Amino acid sequence: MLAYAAGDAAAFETLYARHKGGLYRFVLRGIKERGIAEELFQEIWMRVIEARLRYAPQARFSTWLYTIAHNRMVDHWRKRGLSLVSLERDDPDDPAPPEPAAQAAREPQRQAETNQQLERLARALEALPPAQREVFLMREEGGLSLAEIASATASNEEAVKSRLRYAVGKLREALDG
Amino acid sequence: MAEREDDKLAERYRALGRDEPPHELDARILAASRRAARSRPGWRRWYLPLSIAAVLVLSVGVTLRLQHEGADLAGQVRAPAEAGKAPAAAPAAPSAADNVMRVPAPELRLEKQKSSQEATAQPGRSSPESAEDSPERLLARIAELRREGHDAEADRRLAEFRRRFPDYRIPQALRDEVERR
Repeated sequence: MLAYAAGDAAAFETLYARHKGGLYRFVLRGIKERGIAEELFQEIWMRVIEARLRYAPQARFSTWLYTIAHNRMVDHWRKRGLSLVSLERDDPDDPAPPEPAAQAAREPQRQAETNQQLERLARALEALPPAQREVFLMREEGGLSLAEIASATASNEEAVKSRLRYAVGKLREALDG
Repeated sequence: MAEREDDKLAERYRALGRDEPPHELDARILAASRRAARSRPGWRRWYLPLSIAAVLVLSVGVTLRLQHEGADLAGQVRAPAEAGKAPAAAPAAPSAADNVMRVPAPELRLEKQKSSQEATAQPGRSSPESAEDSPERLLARIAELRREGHDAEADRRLAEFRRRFPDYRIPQALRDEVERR
């Protein structure tokens, strides 16, 4: 990023090639509507380009990138009428995720059809509260640690850990059928 | 167990598909990045060349100044040294460090400055004192006349010197050279 800020256009192409897939899926699976997701994806990269001269390497580039993405998506959700509270709050009506022991006891029934299993997973991901889905996607697509996700979402590590536990629990349930 | 479940979930998640942005979206973003890289702010484009130019100008200025001052000081200080009892072989081209070491004592410089002011105030002297008729230079010439045996001329010049520079304190070593024994 520093090389790009110094005028090296090829440096940006390297960064873009490395991160575009993960970020694209992060936005697409967070927003669900492809047209809007692509618009947001482009806006995020434009913010990166505009902010190149202010970039200071205090954290990994990916943390910075996903911070911009998070902020842009929060703006989007706000415009859609979702309050910040509803974005940040974990679903209080959700039951606690099953403990591993209980889950083990409930022997997972493997589905004969992999496609059905994937379909259930996709639906479960879509059904997650935005804050839980975001944490899960940041880990899977951005490769961010809990601390990095906390930094990118202006949250604390405990809250991130809790959201991830809920998200993973629900997705596992969906896999198990 | 939980880790294995996590791995399984990650694997299933990846199986959902690896969507990538369409090529035209890539092209738009990369084109914007290239445009931005070309249109860096003007001051940043000129920052490096201007810094180098400023450093060069400063370096040349300081060097010229040192050379100028060095030549001036060498002219002032060499004369009494040449007139000394045991003059060492003078270096052909004194360095700036040599010049710094040869700066006359503050007292001597003050004397010289005062004498110079007096000299310029005298009638018939329209030009300021040059290195040629500095006190040190004049005393060196008197010492030379004395060594060559031209005592009358040396006496005359010494008397004139004392009229022009009444406050100038001639160092003892030099006094032995310029006064009649």
